[in-house]
Amino acid sequence: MVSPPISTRPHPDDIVVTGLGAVTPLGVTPAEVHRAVCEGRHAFGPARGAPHRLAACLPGRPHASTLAVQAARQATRHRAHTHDVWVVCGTTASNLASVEASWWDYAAELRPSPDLPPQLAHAPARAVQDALGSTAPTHSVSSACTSGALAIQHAADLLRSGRAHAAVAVGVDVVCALTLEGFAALKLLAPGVCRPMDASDKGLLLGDGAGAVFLERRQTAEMHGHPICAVLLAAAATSHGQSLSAPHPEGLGLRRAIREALRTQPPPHLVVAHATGTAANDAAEALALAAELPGVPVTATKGALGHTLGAAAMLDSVLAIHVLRAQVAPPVVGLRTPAAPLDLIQRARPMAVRSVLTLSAAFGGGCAALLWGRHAPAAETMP
Amino acid sequence: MTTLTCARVAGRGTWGARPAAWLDARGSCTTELVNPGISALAWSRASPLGRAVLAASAEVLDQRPDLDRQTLPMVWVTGFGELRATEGFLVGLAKRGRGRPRSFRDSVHNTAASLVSLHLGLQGAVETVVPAGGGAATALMRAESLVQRHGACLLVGGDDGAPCADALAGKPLPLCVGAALVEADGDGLHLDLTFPSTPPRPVGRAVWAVDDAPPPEGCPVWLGGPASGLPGLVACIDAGGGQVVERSGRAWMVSTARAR
Repeated sequence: MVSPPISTRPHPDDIVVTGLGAVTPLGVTPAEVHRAVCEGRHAFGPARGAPHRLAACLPGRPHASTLAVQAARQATRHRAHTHDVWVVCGTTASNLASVEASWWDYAAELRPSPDLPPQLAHAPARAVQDALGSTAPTHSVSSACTSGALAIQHAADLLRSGRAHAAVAVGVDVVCALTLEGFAALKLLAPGVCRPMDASDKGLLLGDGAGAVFLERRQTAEMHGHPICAVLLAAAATSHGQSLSAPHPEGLGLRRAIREALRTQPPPHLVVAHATGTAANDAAEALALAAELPGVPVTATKGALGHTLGAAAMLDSVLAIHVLRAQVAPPVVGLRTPAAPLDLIQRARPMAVRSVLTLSAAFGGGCAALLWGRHAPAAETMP
Repeated sequence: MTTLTCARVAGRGTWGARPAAWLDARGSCTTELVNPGISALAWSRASPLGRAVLAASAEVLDQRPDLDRQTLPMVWVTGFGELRATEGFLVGLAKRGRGRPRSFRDSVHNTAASLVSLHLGLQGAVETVVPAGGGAATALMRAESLVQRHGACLLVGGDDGAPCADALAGKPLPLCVGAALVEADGDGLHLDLTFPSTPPRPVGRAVWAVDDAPPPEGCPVWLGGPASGLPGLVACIDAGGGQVVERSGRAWMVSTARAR
């Protein structure tokens, strides 16, 4: 299927991306991550603290707040001043990995501990705010695996409303006992490497990661001479209301999100699917993609980076934006035998990509779609 | 000072600054919440926080049966979400080497919002925000965009309390949940949000919802907890007007509900 070109004219109020950041076990810049995934590498090894399980872990004991700051610093590198930058952070477990030892003591002995650190989901956002020296308010989103996508939507809305002139959206999560053993309890962990959209898909693997996108209105970016990486063409969020932990079997939530995101846009040239590697998610998503976007090439990142939960949609967006720049679509790492009649990319594919749709789905039924467009000079755009 | 008008309040929640219920040290609810009509099994499986959120949301939504729940967005504001599910899973892991799958499923911050989606039929955007203070202001800022796009938005806020020393000592914790429906052109109160550059002095009926600073002398209500501002704002709405003073980091925020 040949997708038509993007038909929107540049507008001063467009929400554009002028900075990107990524911290993953496969690379600590967006370009490094893109190169590694294009080479078909994955980051899985013995999980931190649970060597009998596999995960894509960064070395040492990373702190979610520290990763969030690293990604945000990359994304804001082009800004001389960041005191007015609003911070919107998506996360699920936040810094839980760093404080689990205290919980462990408490859980084992049930002893009163006034210092017991609660699950402060806003901590990474506050750390980014402090690191940037920002005096603008911070926001944190914790909508499970759609958190990163909703953080971007939230930041874009703050810009559109005129409250914010610049915003950095961050997604971050670190593998911890709760998530590792939780997915194991649900029997969703893959015994070997993760193989999204594969006929043999047997589960997901978790990963550490942080991603960040710096968002401005086009007018502001051009006024300051900031290089524009991409345009946020559309965004959508829905809820399928079907189950607290399972996807809708026919992918209805995702289908509605795709339709809403593409209401005024032509089909994308590429899809970065949520594709966790679990049978239920991948089957539902494949149905949604086959119905809504037949023939559009599909890739996914979780076979390389693992499922980074609150960071997943953010890292997918960072990769999607990098694909718009590099014009090379990365493969679905781990894929051997496609489970669905989709154009699943199995080797890095050079291709003309002018728009990429990223999809995410979450516990609780949330679904989100983001449509990213290549920043094109006016001459390239259609009337 | 920045002043921006948000939206008008059409429906009202009744689970306001006066706690809807109390939790004992085990997390059991000491007050019987009324099932808003969902299945008895689902109601029995929901946590006290989930039940309070369902009850408050249903009460608000029932006032506006004409709204299209397929597109109505919801913002759930919570500091800790279902912290007791996290605690339950980790206790199981420490004591038995494994946690209960359902505890893990419920440990995500958005569980209560998902219950509303699941049982009350909301299929639009369901977002969970976790503020560091500023629960009312965060909700209003998010509602502003969603109301503009969808015409209305359900705001729900609350916490079941952290496992703090009080809980461990056996003292009950307040279960504080508030819900309100805001829309662009309703009949109710007017909501404003301002960002004063210096610590504000509350005016009139005020709720001071700053979790790390005591209220000024004469302030009638003080709520601790990072998300308690929204239940506080609902209390103001219930009372026919009032003000919530919050702080997030270095930013002060004042949310005001007043008659037009």
